[in-house]
Amino acid sequence: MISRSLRIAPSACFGILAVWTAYDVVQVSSAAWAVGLLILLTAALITHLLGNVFRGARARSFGLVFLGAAYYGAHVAVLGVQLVVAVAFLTLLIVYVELRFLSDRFAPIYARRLHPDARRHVDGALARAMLRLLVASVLAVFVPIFAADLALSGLVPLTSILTAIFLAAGLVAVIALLALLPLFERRAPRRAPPEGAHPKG
Amino acid sequence: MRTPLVMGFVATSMAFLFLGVLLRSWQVLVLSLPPLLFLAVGTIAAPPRPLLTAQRVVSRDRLQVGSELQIDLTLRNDGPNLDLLEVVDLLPPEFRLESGTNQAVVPLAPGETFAFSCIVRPALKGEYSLGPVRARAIDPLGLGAEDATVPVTTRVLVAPPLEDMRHVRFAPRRTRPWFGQIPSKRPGLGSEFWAVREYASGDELRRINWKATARLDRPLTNEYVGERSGDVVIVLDARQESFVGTRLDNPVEHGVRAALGIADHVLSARNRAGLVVARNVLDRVLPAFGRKQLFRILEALVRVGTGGQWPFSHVARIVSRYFPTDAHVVLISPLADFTALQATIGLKAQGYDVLVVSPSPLDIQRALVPKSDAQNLAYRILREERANLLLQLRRVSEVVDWDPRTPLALPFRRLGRSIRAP
Repeated sequence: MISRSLRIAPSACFGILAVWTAYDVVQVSSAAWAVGLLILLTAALITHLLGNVFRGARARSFGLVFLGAAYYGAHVAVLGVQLVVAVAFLTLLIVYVELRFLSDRFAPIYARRLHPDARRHVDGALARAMLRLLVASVLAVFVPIFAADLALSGLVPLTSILTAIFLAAGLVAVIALLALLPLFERRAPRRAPPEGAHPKG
Repeated sequence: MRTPLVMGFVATSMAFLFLGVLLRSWQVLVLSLPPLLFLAVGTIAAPPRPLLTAQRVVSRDRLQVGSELQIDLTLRNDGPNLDLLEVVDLLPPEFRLESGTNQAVVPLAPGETFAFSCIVRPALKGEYSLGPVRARAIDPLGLGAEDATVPVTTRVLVAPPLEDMRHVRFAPRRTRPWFGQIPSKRPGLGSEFWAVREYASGDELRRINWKATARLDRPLTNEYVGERSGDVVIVLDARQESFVGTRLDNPVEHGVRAALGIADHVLSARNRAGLVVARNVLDRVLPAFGRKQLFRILEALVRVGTGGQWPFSHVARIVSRYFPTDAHVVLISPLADFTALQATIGLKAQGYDVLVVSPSPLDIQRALVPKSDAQNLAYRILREERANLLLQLRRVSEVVDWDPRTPLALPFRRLGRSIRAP
């Protein structure tokens, strides 16, 4: 049951995203834009389907990119961006990726007959992972909305040169941190491993 | 170690950032935040490098193809807390998982242990090594991972299935001086009546033929056929030419099965058995008696893999060098080429009795090719070629033409009296 649910969850999530995008693309009044966006949406569905059939992660990624391009293309070009909805869509897109990651790991394990003790451990791991995903999703939705709200209410003036510099500096710092993280980890002193454990070099 | 997902999130964030700046839209600019927030949550709880110890227990270390093996693995976390640990006990691809699991994703606190078990069924004979255990500490959001290997390995010997040869009456024609189960055409110790002779001093009382003694009025003694044992040398053709089919279904694997069945049958009848395997290297097990010898032969057969290009016709020279000339040679070969005929002629010329057991490669080959008229024609030609070769071989030796899908005892029984003990 859990295995089947885990296998279905990412596809269901993608289905919701696809229906959502299709609904918005249909609202586009310009025929040229509508055709272009529908082609993108169809490409997304085909690549996703192919990725699922042939177990190709790259094809699935392309499907996701096409889907995002179709949705945000429709809103940026014609319909206009509504912040809350756009953030919710993007978060759902990320949740789909995370669900796929968890499904690939947990579904094969739940498909097998497990000892109750082992099952309890695996349940714990899945619950922990889902909790982390929930926390990250809630933060991903509410923090941008809260930031925008603060900016709009005038507490933080968003359009000033100072906030632009801070925002740019913050983003550069985050990217630099991510890039240098492995270097810091390598330099960090490690405790000698006990006998029998051999971490890969 | 970062996963590709990190780059995906960074790229998405950057794309919205540049698009927002380009379109001068603060709404699009704000969309660069959700991926960064996921990255931040992932970076806060980055997975540490796992430090583990593992212990594997197997239900047995020697088993037969198709029988079950239980593997229990216990892991202990000797390092920091692991939110999500993905662990895989590497099993050979020939082991089919029946129940349980050889992989798991679990959280492990420091000092905590986790045990899991599985039941596997090996599909192919061989000497296998279970393990090592591969572990990966992963971030629950899939943004970081740290790998470790626990080098715990276990050796398992998987024997080929044993053919039931109980009702087969195969024995070497020529006997050696040792006591055995083959009637030897000479008087001696045995149970079968041979003749009556004059009583000689020292004859056992229970051997005196009292009826004949009373009738002829002089003491007469029964003589019995002496039961001796002989030598059998099994020569297995495992050359590259003999490999047709798949890893699980090929004449070499069936030949190994036949060799073990014949060795078991010969040794249980108190004969000596030896083995020569023609592959990359020349394996040989010198003739000996008993159960230990069966295990020696089994160990040699388990390691048999296809390979080697050396000419099979040289087998006569090898056999004559290491084995006595009154041995019965059992040549197991799919007869993929005509060198087996030369080998048999060579052995006969050296004075050996030869029995050729040939697992037929034709049906194995046929199953691999889609059915068509051309395939049918090719099959008929190959069948005729094989029949011709078998006919030539039958002039110099006895031949068992064996379809590996049937029990080996069947063609042996069909062979009838010609290979039975005289």
